[in-house]
Amino acid sequence: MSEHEIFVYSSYALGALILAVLVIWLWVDRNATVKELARLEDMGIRRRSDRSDSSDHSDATAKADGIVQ
Amino acid sequence: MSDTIIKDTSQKKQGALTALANPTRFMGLSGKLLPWFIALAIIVTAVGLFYGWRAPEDYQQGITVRIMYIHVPAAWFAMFSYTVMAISALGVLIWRHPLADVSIRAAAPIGAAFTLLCLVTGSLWGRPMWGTYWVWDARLTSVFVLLIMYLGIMALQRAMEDPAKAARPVALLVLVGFINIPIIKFSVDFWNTLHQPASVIRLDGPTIHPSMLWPLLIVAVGFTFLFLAMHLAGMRNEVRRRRAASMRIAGARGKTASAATAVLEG
Repeated sequence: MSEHEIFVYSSYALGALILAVLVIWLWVDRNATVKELARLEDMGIRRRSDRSDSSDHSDATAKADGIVQ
Repeated sequence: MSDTIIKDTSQKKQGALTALANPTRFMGLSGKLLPWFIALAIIVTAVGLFYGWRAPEDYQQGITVRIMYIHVPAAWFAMFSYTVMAISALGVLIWRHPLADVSIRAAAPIGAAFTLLCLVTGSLWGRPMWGTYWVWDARLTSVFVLLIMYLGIMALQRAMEDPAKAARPVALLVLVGFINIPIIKFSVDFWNTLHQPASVIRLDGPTIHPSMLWPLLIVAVGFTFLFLAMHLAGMRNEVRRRRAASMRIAGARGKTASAATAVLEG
């Protein structure tokens, strides 16, 4: 093993660690938000779009998106 | 007649754009694309790194040239993530679309991670090649400033409880900070730096031997899918989080969600 190999392996190990932490955080966040939405729906709270029968509703919301922050 | 055609065309264009920006359609489309982006990110990056490790060692750098296969794409995507945030900031300020703010929120931690990856791997390359882990030259310092800016933007986003209120100041900060991107790119030309000048993206073509250039470009394509996958995943998380916040408010009031947050309901 050359004296420089340790720097190469350390780079790849730290690179994998940084990306793994990011991916795990995204996965944990995904599970938490999915659970929270399911919990709220179980409580009987519905989003406006779920209450609307109109198929044009999403288009109307999209228009609103352009003007409402 | 021609006026009518022009009018119709512009209406169609606007319709297509708003349709793409509709949060519900975004969630549907991104949900379908995400598994493909994840698979492509893993496969293409693995193929690029495999060929990178099979490529010959550099006659001067020896084995440490292999750090380049992650350092350079990480540096590119550290800057690309910020560019995506700057374009999204325009979306916040001009079109005031909440999905644009969601995009900034999702891209910031990814950009910060790529910047950290770039700094760490560069530092580990610098020790054997330059004899030091760190030097305050223009390239290294401007990339370090980029990391600080990512952290500052993430802090500002979380300083205000209502994301709708934080969107505009965050977008302004992102746009002001974009000046750092050309500074990073041209720092090696403007100033006398220890960091070498560009060897891939330059007007007279790459100066790297194809045996090393191709694996590098393949890893860069892999990182493109990695960025897309993580950005979409982050955006989907943020949309869900805002929908939940909107539903909590609606639940507390016992009626439909407020206009400020309802826009993400789709």
